[in-house]
Amino acid sequence: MEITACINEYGTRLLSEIIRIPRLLCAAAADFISGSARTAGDTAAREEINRQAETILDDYGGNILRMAYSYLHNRSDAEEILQDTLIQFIRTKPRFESEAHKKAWLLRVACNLSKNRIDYNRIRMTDELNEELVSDGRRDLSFVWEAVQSLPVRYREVIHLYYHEGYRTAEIASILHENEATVRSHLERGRKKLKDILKEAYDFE
Amino acid sequence: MSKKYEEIMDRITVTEEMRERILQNVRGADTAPASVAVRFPYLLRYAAAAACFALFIVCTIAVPRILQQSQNNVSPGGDIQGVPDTAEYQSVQELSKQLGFQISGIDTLPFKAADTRYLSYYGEIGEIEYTGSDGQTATFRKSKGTDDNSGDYSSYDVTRELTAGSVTATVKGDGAKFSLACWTDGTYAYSVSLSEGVSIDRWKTIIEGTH
Repeated sequence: MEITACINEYGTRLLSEIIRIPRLLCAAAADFISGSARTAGDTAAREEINRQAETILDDYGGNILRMAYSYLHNRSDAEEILQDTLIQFIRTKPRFESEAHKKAWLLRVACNLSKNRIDYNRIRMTDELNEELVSDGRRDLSFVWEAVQSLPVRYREVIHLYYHEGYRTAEIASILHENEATVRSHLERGRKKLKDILKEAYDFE
Repeated sequence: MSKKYEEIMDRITVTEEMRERILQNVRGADTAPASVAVRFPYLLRYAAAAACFALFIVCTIAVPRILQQSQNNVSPGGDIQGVPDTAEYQSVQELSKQLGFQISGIDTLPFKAADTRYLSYYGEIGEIEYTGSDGQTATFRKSKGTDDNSGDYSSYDVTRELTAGSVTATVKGDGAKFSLACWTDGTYAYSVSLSEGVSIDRWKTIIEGTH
């Protein structure tokens, strides 16, 4: 009985090894084909797109970083959003009609990525910027920043795009996938809340 | 323009180190769909094959619908990512007809509506937006399924369960006032978002009057 069991066991192993051979050959062939497909043209195209990403980082990196920071209040998270936005650009290779179109696309991607991260990051409550403002003796700025942070996200994003990026409400509506009336309403409510908190320090006009 | 806010934002900059770090990561990132030969254990191979088959079936059903929707609504903006397939209708009847289910609206609004808009997103989510003369808004959404359809990503301090009629809704706000409610009747998902929060008692009336 033991001999029979032994033969069965080794027979099964041998069979499984034999089955693996065509699979290994297929994998080797696939590696060879994919290796051959990596032509010089592909490399040049990738270098070109890397150059474009570099240009975007220089031209709009600050805007994307600040947009992400306004959602996440954390530099390393904002940096990751900036990085992911560039990767998204490389992956999708979008074509733009103008510089304004390009900037709006980048900010939209950054907004969406940041919003996705808000829930994931809810535990992280640190804000280096606020600590920096306090340590620099700029309590007036810290007060304003805390007030903006206290707003719900839907007001905060509109405030940032309107006051910092200088977009009109119709453009903000396009970036955030909202109706313009909703954006106007959020802007108005955000201003009102800031006015209530900041009182004489309010300067969002 | 807020000078103080500008001054705060001026402190958030891309430093040289950050720039180098990002470029290095971006250059090294795998930006193409991965084609890695994964060797599964023998039995898992059949599970993977079954999963692929299921995915194929799903794609066969979903892709024609997505293609049809994108043909129906081509954005003049071109390649902007994630532009929603939004359509506006003149009446609630038109909206219901487009969606394929009845959407009525909020009979018990907390303010008098001066303007009402009827919208659909991707032909699946119905939205009725009410705007009062003072600018406050109420946005009602209804869609098939039970997932939260509010699209509200805000983090709220307080979340409570509220029973109104035959449904149990989740309401969110600061504790004194609540500005978002989501619920389901098992077949449809509902959400109401208010630009100006109201008390939890007032929400009960709003939810009972929403269909």
